Amino acid sequence: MTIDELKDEVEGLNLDGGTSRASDYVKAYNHFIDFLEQFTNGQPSNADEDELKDTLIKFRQKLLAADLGEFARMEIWAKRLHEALVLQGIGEVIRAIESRNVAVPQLLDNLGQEIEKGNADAALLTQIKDAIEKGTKTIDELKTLVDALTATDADVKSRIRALITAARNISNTFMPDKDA
Amino acid sequence: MSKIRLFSKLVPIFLIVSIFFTACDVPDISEFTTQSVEMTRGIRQGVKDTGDVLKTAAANDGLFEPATIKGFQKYSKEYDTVMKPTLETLDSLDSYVEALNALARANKKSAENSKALVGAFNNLVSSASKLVIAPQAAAFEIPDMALKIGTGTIAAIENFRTAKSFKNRVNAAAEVVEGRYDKTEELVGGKKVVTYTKICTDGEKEGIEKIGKQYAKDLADKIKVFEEGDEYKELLEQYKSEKDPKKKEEQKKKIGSKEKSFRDSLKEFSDKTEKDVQNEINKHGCGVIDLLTFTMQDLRRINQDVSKLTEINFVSKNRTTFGLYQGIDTYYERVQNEIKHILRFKTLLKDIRELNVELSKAEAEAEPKAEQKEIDSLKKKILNLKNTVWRRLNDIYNLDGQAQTAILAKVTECDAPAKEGQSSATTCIGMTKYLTCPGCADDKIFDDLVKAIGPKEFSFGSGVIETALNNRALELFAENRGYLTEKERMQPDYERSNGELDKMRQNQKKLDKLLTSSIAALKTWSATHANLRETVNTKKPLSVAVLVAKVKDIWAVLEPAEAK
Repeated sequence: MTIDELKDEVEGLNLDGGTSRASDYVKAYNHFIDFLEQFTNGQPSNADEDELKDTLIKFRQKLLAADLGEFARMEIWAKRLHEALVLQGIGEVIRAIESRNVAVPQLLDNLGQEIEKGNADAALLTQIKDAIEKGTKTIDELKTLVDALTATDADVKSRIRALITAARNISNTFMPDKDA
Repeated sequence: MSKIRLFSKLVPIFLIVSIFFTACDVPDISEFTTQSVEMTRGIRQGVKDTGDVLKTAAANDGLFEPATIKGFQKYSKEYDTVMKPTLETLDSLDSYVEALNALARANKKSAENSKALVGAFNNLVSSASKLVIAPQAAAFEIPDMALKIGTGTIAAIENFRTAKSFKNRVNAAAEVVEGRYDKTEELVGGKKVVTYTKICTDGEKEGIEKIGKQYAKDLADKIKVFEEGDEYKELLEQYKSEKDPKKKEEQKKKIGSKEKSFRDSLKEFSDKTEKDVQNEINKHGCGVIDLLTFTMQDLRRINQDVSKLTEINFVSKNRTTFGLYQGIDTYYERVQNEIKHILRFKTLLKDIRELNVELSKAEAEAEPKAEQKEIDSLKKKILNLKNTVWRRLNDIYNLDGQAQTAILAKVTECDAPAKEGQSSATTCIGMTKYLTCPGCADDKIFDDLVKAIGPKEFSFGSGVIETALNNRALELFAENRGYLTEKERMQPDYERSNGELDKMRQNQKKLDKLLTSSIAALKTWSATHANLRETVNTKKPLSVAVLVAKVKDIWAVLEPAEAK
């Protein structure tokens, strides 16, 4: 029996609608058992398992709708089977994630290297940015003094000297002076 | 002086050109960073919520078999463990985009500051060039220093190669985050067309899982061989049976040393094998985003399976509440339907009576010429209505066998010739045949049968039927009132159970939507990163609009009010 045949059989069950009798439910139940045997002996895919679970849910809904005392045992069987299949599925999913986790460390190592390089570069850029800021400030100050410069202003001259020294130091941070 | 003038013109121009050139290669990725971080935040919520689905099931002992509860408890713990690498991966993805963003921002800032330096510097050189009475040393040192600062800035930025660094980071990380692509080249109309096809598909997912499973199995086998090995078992036995504390201590040390040596050999094996395993896994070409997508698909499966199971178990457990409530509703509907038929039946009888009055008047008063036509028309109408009455009665019988029995019993009583002293107006001869009429689906048979019943008999008979139906309707009302009272009484129970079921369904749907949106966002993230690669390699503009929309979908699930 194929899953599609089983699905059709289950779909057709309708005790109150008069299209089936109680014995039809028992037949479907027996077909379920036959199918399960065949299913577990094969190599079902995730899609096959999903289809089986959906058919089982349908069967449970039909039993529930029929709500017949004599179906109680079938109901318990279907509930237990459903729970077992769901648990098995969760186990498979967890094992699959666990198996794929083997691939994670290397990917994260590689990504980590790029993150480190990126962060290091960004830090270096920030250092340079600070140095440039300092340079700009010094040069602005120097310009103010140059603008105010007179030949007789000794105090200003010495301040210019000091600033030039400071600016030289800054310039050396950009391009070290071989002669210095 | 000429030296100063030369620099005053050339250096700033050179600097500005260099800085602009450098800054243009790095796109603004602040929006990409924001969206990426929002996406991973949503995904983390999905991971947490799926864990909660398992935890809730594990705590719901009234709904599942004891063995199932144990299973849920076990898997709930395992879930937390196996999801750790996924959470680490999400953290790494955040760190990656944040590092890229920091690099892009620092580069932009550096370029802006460099421009400010050039501006200040330009002003200084202009001022210095105007110096007439300047100290000689200063006059010469300024241009010299200017040259150093100017070229130094260029050198620093050049050495730094931010644009190249950014491009390198994006290109190097692409394989790790997006996965690998197969490149194929073909000539189309004499033009070389390069196509990139993603290597990692669902098939690769299974391939990776197979390798991972085998690796785990190999390790487990090694442990099993060690633990079940004669030498180790013997040592354990000796330790257990040894009474002398001194000797027991020696045995313990021996076991410890044996275990350590095994652990070392296992580590060696694992280090060696891990490289091979990683190489094998690499062949599948999957990246961080692929692995996250596979995991989201798996979480969807867990959510759907557990939710469907919980739902049907819940309905099954509360079957009486649901069944009785819905049963009353269904029955109430049937009663209403039957009463509706009864009312229509009564209306038809009223119509027939009115037509009979009209017919009597027509027969008594009408002009001779017009008379027969109108009389025939009225008779035809009455006959047709009697047919409809018969068909409506059949409908009522189909709905209610009890009503049929009651009607037949009453009609049988009057379907006999009038007894002595009884008025002929209180008989309904021929009405039993009318009610049970075999072959009356045929109009001719019906008409012949009905014409044989006198109008008075029909009127009395139909009155008897009407009374029987009125009584039946009252019975139905009374019965229904009882059910409705019961329904009202159980309303709180029903609402509680139904509310719980509704909440269950909504949560399932919400999580499913969240995981589905996460899968779509991951796919788009990958495409946006590919776009970023293209941007840095070919200077095409970077667009994050689709990613913005996909991330919005995630947050529309998590915070519907805010998303609006």
